Amino acid sequence: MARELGDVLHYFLDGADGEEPAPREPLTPRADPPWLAVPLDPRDVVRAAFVWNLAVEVARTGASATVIAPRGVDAESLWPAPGVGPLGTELVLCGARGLEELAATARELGESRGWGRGKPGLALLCVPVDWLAPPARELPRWSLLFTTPDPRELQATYRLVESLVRGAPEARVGVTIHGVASIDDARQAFGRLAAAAEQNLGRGLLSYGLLLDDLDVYRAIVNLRPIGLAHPQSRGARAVRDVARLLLEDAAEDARG
Amino acid sequence: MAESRAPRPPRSALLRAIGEALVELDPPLSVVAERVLGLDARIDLVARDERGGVVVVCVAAEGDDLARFTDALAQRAWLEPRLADWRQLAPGLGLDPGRGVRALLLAPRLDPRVLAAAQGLGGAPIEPAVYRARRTATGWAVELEPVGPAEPGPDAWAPALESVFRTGLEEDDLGEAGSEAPSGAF
Repeated sequence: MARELGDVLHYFLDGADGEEPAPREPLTPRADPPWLAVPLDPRDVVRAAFVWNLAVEVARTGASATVIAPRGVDAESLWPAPGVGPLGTELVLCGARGLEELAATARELGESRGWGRGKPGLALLCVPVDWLAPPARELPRWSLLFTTPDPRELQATYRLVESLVRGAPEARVGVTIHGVASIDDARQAFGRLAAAAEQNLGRGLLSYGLLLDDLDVYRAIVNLRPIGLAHPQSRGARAVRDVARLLLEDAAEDARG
Repeated sequence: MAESRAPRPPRSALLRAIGEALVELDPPLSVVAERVLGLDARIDLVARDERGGVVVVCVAAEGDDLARFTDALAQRAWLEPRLADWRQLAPGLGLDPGRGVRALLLAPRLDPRVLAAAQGLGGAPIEPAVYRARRTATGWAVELEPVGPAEPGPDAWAPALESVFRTGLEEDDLGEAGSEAPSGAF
């Protein structure tokens, strides 16, 4: 019969004496900063606001953070004016009419700004979901999808995953669950989506944590203030910070090759 | 000098040598616990990878790998829900419960049914590997040879089949939580 945890603690507590967690490797500059595509419905202002909040949290770590989006999305009303904003986060609105043009804009910006040569960073490309529908010629290599645990949302997100991986077999698709009040809610929702992707597409999904259904988050969005600055100690801010951390870790891993 | 074809080190020496050999794997593993009493049996080794992922290591004797395969599955399932407690109690170990638990099944020879079962598991990864023990001047050394599906390609972006929920948050970070769990067919 199994003993309780306390009975086995000494097995590893001894080994823990003086032992530090494995050091996290520093982010490594690379020729281009990682581009993370965030497919969005142009009318989806809340998720667009999440993107901006994520960028601010990325910048808080000392990395460069840029949001690039086509002009005309409704989200403009919940974003600050284009240019350099809090903590050096940059918002760029461009006239791109497709993913290729958006990627070209990111590339040009990267060259002109010298991204990756000075410090690590992340460029978040807001991609209207229509641009990903067949016969899109270019699909993102790394994407982040937001979804809630609502079954209809999960189904819609699954269809998006399907478009991304069928069109670009090497694509890595990440998912952040939002609109949850507990980690377990998020874990369950991610598990459902991942199981569907694994069974039907033979593909795994990357998990990028969760964002909370939290009044502070929405209040900060409406007030055009990043949650990390408006309520830095709130649980909503902690969740955004955690997603940013996961993204930067994967970006750094990619940079190491 | 002639060597025995199948040297059999004492169990404790074998586990010690395996612990040292785990560091040579790619990615390397470091042992955080030995002979942990798990589900009605002892887990030979519990190790962690560089990112805090936890690995249950089960060491089978010759001909024992099929039985240890199911043991590895059971111990993996036993350990996973306890990781959050482990991390709280021994934060210095750097365990990351969000990365789930893998299992490494080591045997001198692997039954084809073990390999087939391991490949068919998908979401509950058991990674089989062959070990070879040999005497050294100071004791025993072990070589490990992972056996599995095709090696991952050189592209670091190659998508993984396994999806693991990740978060660095704990429920305590979220304050009052506990909305109703979503239901539905999805």
